[in-house]
Amino acid sequence: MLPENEQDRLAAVRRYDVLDTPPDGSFDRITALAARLFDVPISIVSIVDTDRIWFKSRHGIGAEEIGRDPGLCASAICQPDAWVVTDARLDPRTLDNPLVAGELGLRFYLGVPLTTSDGFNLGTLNVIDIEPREVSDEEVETLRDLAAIVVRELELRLAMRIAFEERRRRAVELNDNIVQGLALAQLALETGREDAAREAIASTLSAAQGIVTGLIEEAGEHGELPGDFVRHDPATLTA
Amino acid sequence: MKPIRVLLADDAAGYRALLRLALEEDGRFAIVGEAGDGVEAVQLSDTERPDVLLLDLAMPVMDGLQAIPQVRSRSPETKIVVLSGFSRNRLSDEAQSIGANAYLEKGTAVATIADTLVKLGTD
Repeated sequence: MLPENEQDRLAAVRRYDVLDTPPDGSFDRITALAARLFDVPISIVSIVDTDRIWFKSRHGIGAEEIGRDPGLCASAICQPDAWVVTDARLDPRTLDNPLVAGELGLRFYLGVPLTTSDGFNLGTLNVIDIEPREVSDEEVETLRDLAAIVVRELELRLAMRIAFEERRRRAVELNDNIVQGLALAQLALETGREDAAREAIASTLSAAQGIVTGLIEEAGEHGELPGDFVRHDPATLTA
Repeated sequence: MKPIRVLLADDAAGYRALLRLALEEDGRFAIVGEAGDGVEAVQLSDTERPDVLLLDLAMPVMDGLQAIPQVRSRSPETKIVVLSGFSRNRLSDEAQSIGANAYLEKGTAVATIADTLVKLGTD
């Protein structure tokens, strides 16, 4: 069973760049908390990859990943809401499943998809028991809230990475346009080519103005107000 | 004295041209080629076997940090002098740890660049 938007969903999984990253306290706290709240031995933050289900956090289970075929999370991400199996041995969807029939002896599964802000289910937050059990609407709501915290955490990390990349891009842009321009002007002066120096300074000045304008426009989407340009200290140019 | 054979690698053609002029006027160097990106720098190092490669870091296709180990392995005799717009704070150690012999910031006086090339090129 595959989600309808599987290719785009996998692209989203890649974009969040979470697969095969080291264990992380934030997610481990959430699975530990979920296991305690539900009084179950196992809780997992799973990410569904092309042919495997990888565990970003696992409480109460040693495996780091399982194949996608037997994985219940692969089913859980195919729909927008919680996926519940109250007794897996009686449930036609799961009774042949190796996780149920095999050594693990899974009986109870409640998984909530980790849905990104742009609507892709990356994986699940789930709680698992080896005993059958019922689940209340309130409990589903609790797991949904915890899943939302997991997603928020993933989104924050993605935003931070994008911000870092943007900063590096800016540094390269400043280097390419300003540092290189001034270095060129200086070299031209050193080699006695004043015309070339003047030209380099003019184009560097205009590149600098372009960059500054871009930054100001981004910082103040609502336009500039009087006082926005008051300096902390008078402008200085140091050699 | 035999001129020191220098390969210039920088994507800014104007900057490259001025460097060439400055070094040719100095009289101690022969410019054996100009590369506009890292891949060209590696290829020309391989074919020209320069005494020194003067290498920019931020370049299209392949950057200087990617090119350094490849130049090192293809033309082990070539000394590599990084000449970059980035300050040396972080990148100097990194560049030298992967095989660069010296790190100069753009803006360094031509005389200093020339002396560095002579020192390394005649080692």
